[in-house]
Amino acid sequence: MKTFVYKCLIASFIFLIVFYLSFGVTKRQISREMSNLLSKENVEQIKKNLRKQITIAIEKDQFIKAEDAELINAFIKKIKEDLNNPNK
Amino acid sequence: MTKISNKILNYSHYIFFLLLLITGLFLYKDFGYNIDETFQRKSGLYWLKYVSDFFNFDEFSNLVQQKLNTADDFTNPWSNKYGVIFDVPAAYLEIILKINNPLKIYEFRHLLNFLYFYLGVIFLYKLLINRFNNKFYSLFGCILFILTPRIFGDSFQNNKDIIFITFFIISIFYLFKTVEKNSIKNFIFLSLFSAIATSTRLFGLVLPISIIFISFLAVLSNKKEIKNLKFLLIYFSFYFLFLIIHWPLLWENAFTNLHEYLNNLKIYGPPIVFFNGDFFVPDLVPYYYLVLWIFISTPVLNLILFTGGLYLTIIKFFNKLDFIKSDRNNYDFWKNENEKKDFFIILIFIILIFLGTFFNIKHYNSWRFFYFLNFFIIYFAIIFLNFYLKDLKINKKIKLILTSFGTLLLILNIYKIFLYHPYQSLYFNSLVTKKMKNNFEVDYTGLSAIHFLKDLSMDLKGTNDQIKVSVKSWYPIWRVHSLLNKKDREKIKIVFNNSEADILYSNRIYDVNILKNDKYEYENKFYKHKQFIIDDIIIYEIFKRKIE
Repeated sequence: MKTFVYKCLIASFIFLIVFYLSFGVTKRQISREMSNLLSKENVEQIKKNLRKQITIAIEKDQFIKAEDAELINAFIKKIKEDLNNPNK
Repeated sequence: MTKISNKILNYSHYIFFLLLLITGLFLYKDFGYNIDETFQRKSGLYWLKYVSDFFNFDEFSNLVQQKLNTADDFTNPWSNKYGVIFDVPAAYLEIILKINNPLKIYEFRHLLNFLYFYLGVIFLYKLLINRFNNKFYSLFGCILFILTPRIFGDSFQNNKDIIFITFFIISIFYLFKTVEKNSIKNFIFLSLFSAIATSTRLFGLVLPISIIFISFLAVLSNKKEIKNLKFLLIYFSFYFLFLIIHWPLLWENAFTNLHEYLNNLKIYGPPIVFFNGDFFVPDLVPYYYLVLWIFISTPVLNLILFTGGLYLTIIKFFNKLDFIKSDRNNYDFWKNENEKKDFFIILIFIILIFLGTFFNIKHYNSWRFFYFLNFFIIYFAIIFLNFYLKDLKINKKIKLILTSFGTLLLILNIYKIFLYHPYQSLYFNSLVTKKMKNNFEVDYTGLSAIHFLKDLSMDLKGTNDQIKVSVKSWYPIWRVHSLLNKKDREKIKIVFNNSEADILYSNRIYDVNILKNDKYEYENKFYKHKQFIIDDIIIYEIFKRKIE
């Protein structure tokens, strides 16, 4: 009986360690990533980067390539058409 | 000659403790002020007022109230859920001895802090004598303990963790006493000190939990142990009784307040912690946080001896698993009292390391909540020393080389204590590279602030200039500003708005991730003027306003 209890205790302890070192580590990493992603600093950094990129875009002579501009223009036109004639 | 050396050894502990006391009395004024000290002082005065009111000591209560009005602490959310074993006597003595000067108050608290620590070292000596029955080992254990720089530095200003170590060691001493003799007296003392340890730090709970577990194993091994369960009942009855008697928090709504105390650890702490070059939320630090901190901030000699002792102990008890028999006449994990003591220690140590590593405990301020693990480090170190000197059979020359190497490491340790003075609390060992040292939080309790202000006042000596000081880190410098004398306080003005400041102090502790957040950039209006470095560690930095 008592050897069974000892074996159970040791097995549970080893199980707990393995559990924490496998599932626990992954869980903690995910929680950390989530926490970093949703942190105030990260949101601020995204905003800052966005502002920077917009400024760069404004300062460029040509931000969108001619062929892309044509494509986007055609796409916007199409959207406008569809919006104006929903029952077409 | 042998007679003389025996005589010296007989009196060596008296000499050691006298020297330690003298050292403490000489040095206690040197250390900086811990960020928590105002908080703890207020806690002491608050509970002293409560006790005075409870016993209707009206006149004394008025005196305490006057003091309490001066102990404002507005930076942190206030909580009364802290142990009282240091704070209330400190508050009582502050009033009785009529200490009113703020600087003197904190110097006195540092002295008292050291005296508690001193008591802890005495009990460590008694505990090691109890286990090893050898004066040299016990003395060597105490020397290793006090020469652990972070413990030595904190023994003057950390009035929570050091107090906990003291009561933890005393509890373990009485635990050993109960192993030797199951007497009611020993169990009452054990329950008293483990109750005090529990109120000082939540980790004190590990003592009653381990006692239950060991009793369970003892009964499982040997059926005769069942008759000793009455002592367990005595222990727990007195444990709860002493917990309530010595801790006014439990005098009313004991269960609610105890529950809140258990949750207290979750409330406090910084929003972010700098660890290994990155910022983490305190309850999401990597699992190796505690182990890495122990590895980088414990002296190399202690680490080597501890690792050897831990290995020997684990192997010894692991081997016992092979010899477990189904009959229940002998104990399975120990043959004698010393083995039972070692089993207690290894079990408590494993539980603590497991809790500290895997449980969602908030980790910050290095590993100061776990500084009491230094007791285990010393205990296992002495187990290894015992093995090394008595049982290890190796070539005499090799032994001489190893002993000389150990002595060198001890000398290096003493040198580091001098080198870091009075910043021993910020110590990193010689295994850590310069770059790595600055990838961790260093002066998290702002010990350097008072030295920065004193240096600044020296610079201003002989002038009538007034200088406006603010901070460039997460630190309430105004707490230590009140410790300056009136003249210096007038010359150094603390401003809360950095746009008014001439000079900024930084202890390099932040509440935001400075790798992503520019909160402390202050629009680049300041430049780094000076930094204070010890052993390649940047302790604090000074910034000056750029001339526009």
